[in-house]
Amino acid sequence: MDFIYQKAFNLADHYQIPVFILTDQYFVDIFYNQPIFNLKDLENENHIIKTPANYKRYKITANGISPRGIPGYGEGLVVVDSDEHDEQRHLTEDLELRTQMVDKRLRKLKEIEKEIIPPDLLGGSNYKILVIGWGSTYGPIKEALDNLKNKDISFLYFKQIHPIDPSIKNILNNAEKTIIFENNAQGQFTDLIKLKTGFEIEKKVLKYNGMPFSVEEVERNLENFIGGLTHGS
Amino acid sequence: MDPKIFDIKNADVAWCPGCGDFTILKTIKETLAELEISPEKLVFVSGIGQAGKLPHYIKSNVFNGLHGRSLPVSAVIKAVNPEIIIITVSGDGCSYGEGGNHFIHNIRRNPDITNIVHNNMVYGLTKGQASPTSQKDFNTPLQIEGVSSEPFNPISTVIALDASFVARAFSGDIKQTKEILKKAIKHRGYALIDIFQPCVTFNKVNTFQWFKNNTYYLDESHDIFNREEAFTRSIETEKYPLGIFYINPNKKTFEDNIIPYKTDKTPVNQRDFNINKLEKLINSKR
Ligand SMILES: Cc1ncc(C[n+]2csc(CCOP(=O)(O)OP(=O)(O)O)c2C)c(N)n1
Ligand SMILES: [Mg+2]
Repeated sequence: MDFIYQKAFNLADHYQIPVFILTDQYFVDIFYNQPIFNLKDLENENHIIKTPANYKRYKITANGISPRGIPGYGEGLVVVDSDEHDEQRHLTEDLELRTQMVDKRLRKLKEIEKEIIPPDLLGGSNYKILVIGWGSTYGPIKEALDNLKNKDISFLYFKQIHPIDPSIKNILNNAEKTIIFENNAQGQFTDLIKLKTGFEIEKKVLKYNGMPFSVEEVERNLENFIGGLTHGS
Repeated sequence: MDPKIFDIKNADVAWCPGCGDFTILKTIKETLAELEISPEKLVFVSGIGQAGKLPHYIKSNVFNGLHGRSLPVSAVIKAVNPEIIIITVSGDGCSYGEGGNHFIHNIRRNPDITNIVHNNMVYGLTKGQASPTSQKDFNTPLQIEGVSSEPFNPISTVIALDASFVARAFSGDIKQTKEILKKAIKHRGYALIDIFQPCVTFNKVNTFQWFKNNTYYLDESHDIFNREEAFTRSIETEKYPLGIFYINPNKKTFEDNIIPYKTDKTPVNQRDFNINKLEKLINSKR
């Protein structure tokens, strides 16, 4: 079982970054039966080090991660600052150092990209039509496709929406037609996919009256989108 | 202990020559040395402003975060490790303006921290706009016709909230400020020390001489355990009283009150994750 929340905490700890988990009213208001968590799968990472005497909070490293110390654990002093700083922590207006520090922070992004959760492909891999969704659209889309029983349609479901891996373009390119369901007014994820992969999703279905998509609504939209194809091969 | 152990070599200090912040820094270093508190035992927490830069000029653990947000960070550092001594330092703008909400509710929580506010009655860092403690009619490049609002009175506000230790000092008097500071650091619970501090560049009204002429020390006749008396003294403005206004020695601290320490005093950050407890918690919801 994946623990998305746990992964978020571990990522935040490891890379020393904020990690956002988006939710919505549908997610927080629904009730359903949930099997007991298998806590054996929990991985509780610990990224705090015992500081040496010459500890540098913002040490410049190859992967961009400076080992994290906390006050009162080890011999070093831990100094955290919100303004630009040198490795030790001192405030700096040295422009060269500023560039080095920005580069250091961005190197972390390269590392984080190695840990992207890939989207799930539900349905066969020989799809003609690809339905895209993320977040709480999962349930209605999955149920609609189960009802339609059309082997030409598969569902690409994103658990992680940023950063995304540009190679997902291949999955999108394999479809003849693409359609996305988003519970917002502007189709931000559609735009993000375009920005990161260059791929333009053919049809956006947006719902923003505050209600989640119903299964029937997804089915109707799919039928309209593919015309007579719904009960095809 | 030699106060020099708190020095940072080649620190690039941004304060103007003659700034009251220098004497506050000196006072803090000497106080800590006299109390034999070494740098590793301390965390300095600050917001943004000239006062907020002080932790960069003293050898210690430091969290220099966002404008107005020094107190929540201080309370949390204390909560995860009550063995650490926290000194929160920031300006009047940072502490009483943008940080005003935190300031008030922090008193209700009463974490064991010492809160030093450099009160120069102006925004120094951003070049001289009015702060919450600027006096009425004070002219600034922004308030060109003078400040129209009444100044905020931090001392009477915190006494009204029954803060556990309340004092005012003057940066120009190192000896007395040190005595107050020592008591504040030793006090268990939240301690506010508002320190009058001349800003030589952006406040030409409330100068060193002005503070000398417009302040006096509370004497032995003042009962520091009497809240009503303390409140009466706090609203005096003809001349501003200096010294300890009020102490409430009977309040429990935030750390005493929170659940993790009810049965176990081990600092939270030194405890291990316990999977059995988690399992029990989840099962208790079935
Ligand atoms: C969130 C946020 N709001 C506003 C500012 C701009 N700002 C920086 S310092 C400051 C006021 C400084 O005055 P004070 O806290 O009295 O400190 P001083 O410089 O006088 O010691 C302001 C408004 C900021 N940096 N961040
Ligand atoms: Mg100020």
